Amino acid sequence: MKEKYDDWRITAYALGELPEELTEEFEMELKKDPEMQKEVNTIQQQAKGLEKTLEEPAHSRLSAEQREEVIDRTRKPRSKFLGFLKVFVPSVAVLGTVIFVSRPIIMSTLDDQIDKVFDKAEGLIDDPVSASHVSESKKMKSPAKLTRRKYDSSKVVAAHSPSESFAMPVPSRETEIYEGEKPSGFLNVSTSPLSTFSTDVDTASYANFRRMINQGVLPPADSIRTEEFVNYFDYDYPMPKNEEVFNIVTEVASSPWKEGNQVVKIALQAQNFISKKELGKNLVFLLDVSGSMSAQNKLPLLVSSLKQMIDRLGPEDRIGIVVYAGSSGVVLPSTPVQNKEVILNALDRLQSGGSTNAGAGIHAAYKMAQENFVKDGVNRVILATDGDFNVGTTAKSNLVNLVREKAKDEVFLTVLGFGMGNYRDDMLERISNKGQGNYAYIDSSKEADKVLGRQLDSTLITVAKDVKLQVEFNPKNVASYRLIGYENRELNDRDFDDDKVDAAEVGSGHTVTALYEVVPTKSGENKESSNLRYRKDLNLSEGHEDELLRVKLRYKRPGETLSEKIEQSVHSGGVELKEASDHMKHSVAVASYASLLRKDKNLGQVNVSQILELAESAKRRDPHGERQEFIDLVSRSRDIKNEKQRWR
Amino acid sequence: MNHNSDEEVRWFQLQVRELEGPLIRYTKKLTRDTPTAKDIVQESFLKLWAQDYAQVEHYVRPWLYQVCRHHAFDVLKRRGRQNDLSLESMIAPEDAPEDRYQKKEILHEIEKLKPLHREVLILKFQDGLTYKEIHQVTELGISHIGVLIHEAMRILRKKMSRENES
Repeated sequence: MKEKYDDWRITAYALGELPEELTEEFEMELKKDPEMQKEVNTIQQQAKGLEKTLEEPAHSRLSAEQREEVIDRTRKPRSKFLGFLKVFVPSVAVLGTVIFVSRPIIMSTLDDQIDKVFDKAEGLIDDPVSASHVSESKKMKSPAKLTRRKYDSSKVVAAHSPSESFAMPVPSRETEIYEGEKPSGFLNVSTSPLSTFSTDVDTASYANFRRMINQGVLPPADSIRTEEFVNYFDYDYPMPKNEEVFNIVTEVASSPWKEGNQVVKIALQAQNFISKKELGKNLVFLLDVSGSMSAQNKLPLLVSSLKQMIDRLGPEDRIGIVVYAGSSGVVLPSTPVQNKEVILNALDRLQSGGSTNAGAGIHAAYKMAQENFVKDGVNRVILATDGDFNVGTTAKSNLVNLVREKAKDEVFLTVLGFGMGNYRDDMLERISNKGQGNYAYIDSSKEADKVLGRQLDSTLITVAKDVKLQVEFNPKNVASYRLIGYENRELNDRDFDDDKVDAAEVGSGHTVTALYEVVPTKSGENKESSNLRYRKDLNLSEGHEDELLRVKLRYKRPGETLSEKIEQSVHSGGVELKEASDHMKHSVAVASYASLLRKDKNLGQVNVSQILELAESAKRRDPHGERQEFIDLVSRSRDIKNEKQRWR
Repeated sequence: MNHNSDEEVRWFQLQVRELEGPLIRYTKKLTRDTPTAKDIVQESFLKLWAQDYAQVEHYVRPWLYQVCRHHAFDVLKRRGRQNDLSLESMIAPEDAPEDRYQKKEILHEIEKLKPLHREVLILKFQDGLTYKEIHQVTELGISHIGVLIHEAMRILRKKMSRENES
């Protein structure tokens, strides 16, 4: 640390806090001194680290009595200043002596409520246009963390009414179980026969993990999303027949985690539309060019991967570029790819600098996408950032709302995360979830080549939206089950048939793989497995003796508002895991490893060597070397652990 | 603006929902006990309701932080304690030591900073307040806040790099 950089302006600038009147002069100095730019980057890294270190849940709530007293006040006409004196002064005097006895309330659902209210409350959230001014104006920046995503439409409706909105929510089974995105535990089939979730084809969590391992650090447990690990890999499941959008592929094998249990794989293979007639593409890139993007693995990587991508597009396809930083603006109006030079020139001119204001940029990007809308084509805003949104949370939820609204007009969002730590990963995932978009993390030119090259069509062409899966377990054959991963994709059972409830989109040729661990019923145990008086006497339906479960899939074709449903049964039986398909073995190995990183207790005695052995046995077909890379990463992570002597 | 208009009531309720958690978290660091912190936060909301909506609307967050801060200082004074914000609740014993090793170390270093350094650091990096908002809460000058944050971050960086070398 050089003494010459002991200057508070550097820190203020790095944090986007340098007063405007000082910025211009400072930026001149900065231009002359590359070392100082490094210092700025270091401070930004440190700031991210500090935010992470100081992250602490703000779950504490007022007691019901306290809350009631506060709300009660809004029901009466108020007498401004006097009203404050009456209440405030006496209670100051007794402070410290009064112990509030609060009713035991499980608050976990309240945060969800808050999210919903916050997302939905009409009139409370600025209109999207004003969101763009948030960073300059004095509007409040909310510190509330909006990371939970469980959707409960009924609560949202109730929350619109002011008088009801403070009613204590009844804690539901789901929210308690999934609180804090901990790995899911087993659920009893007799009480919870249905498991419902939105699909997830994002891969960011795995790519982010790879970056960390390559840097020699182990990823924090909460950065791991098991389903994104599993879905990172290519599984060439059989394509759907005829005009079908999806093929459901299932497999049952013995569980490596607990003897006697089974693993059920439920996979979807989406139709591959690449061979069909070329779809017109209208892409608007929204690029973060703030100071923090200047690192080699961010903006320069992005620019070079975009240049490569252009070669994969047709001459009629259109590209536009909007940037955002301290100010935002259109760098390249929507331009057909046949004017390639113009596009390349615009890319070469991109420079990073200044602080971030995503709000104004995102509006400009959507506007451009809509002005150049290609009917029945691909219309997409592609946001590339390291996640430093310099807008208040109010504005963030505006962004989420905006993205969701635009998805209804068939303009979808892709989020490309660059070079960041796990910082704002939750925010990016949230935005892309709500926008029914996809989210990829680009840590290297190899990954850029995958997302914007080899899998470009999967990234850009949506074959189905609001893709929801529901699994109904047969109580005759399954005592309990747990879904591995997908914690933040859980849906309420009733939302499955509700076409108004959003879910994820799936791109051309994408695969989605989900794994369940199930505990089979022992013979003769089935009807006694429930302790419920009435349930016990219920006649279990006749037939379907050999079925383990029924998979139900709902999705909408792009542009449709009504969903279609397909169903398929999975029969009991199954093979030993070592006899299972390579895809099955690989996905189980990957899920095991993700669970290990998450310290999931359900993993049982499985250790790294067993995971490696399983993965080794599953790489007979590995055209892109991804499975081998996984094996290397697992070995490398074990070395990192060993180095730190913290391997159990 | 009509008093008790629907919009105003909803706005107010939203502030309560949004900010009660962070305010309790912050105030607890000053009072070091939850019941008092909740009490103070409740009072700050009652006080907020008595304000002119149009006037506080744009800086409600620093306004509430400031009310809680003053109120907590009053309580501390009565208890004969100094105004000092502590992270002790964050350095919780239940954290598995091997996971949180580095995090804990940084928290310990922050705990060793001067109280003013510590407070601006918390307001900036935990509560996400801007310099300007911190100015509204603490009534320190904006450039003073800039210097404090700069110094605090530098001290921590020095400590951590020494740690890594040894």
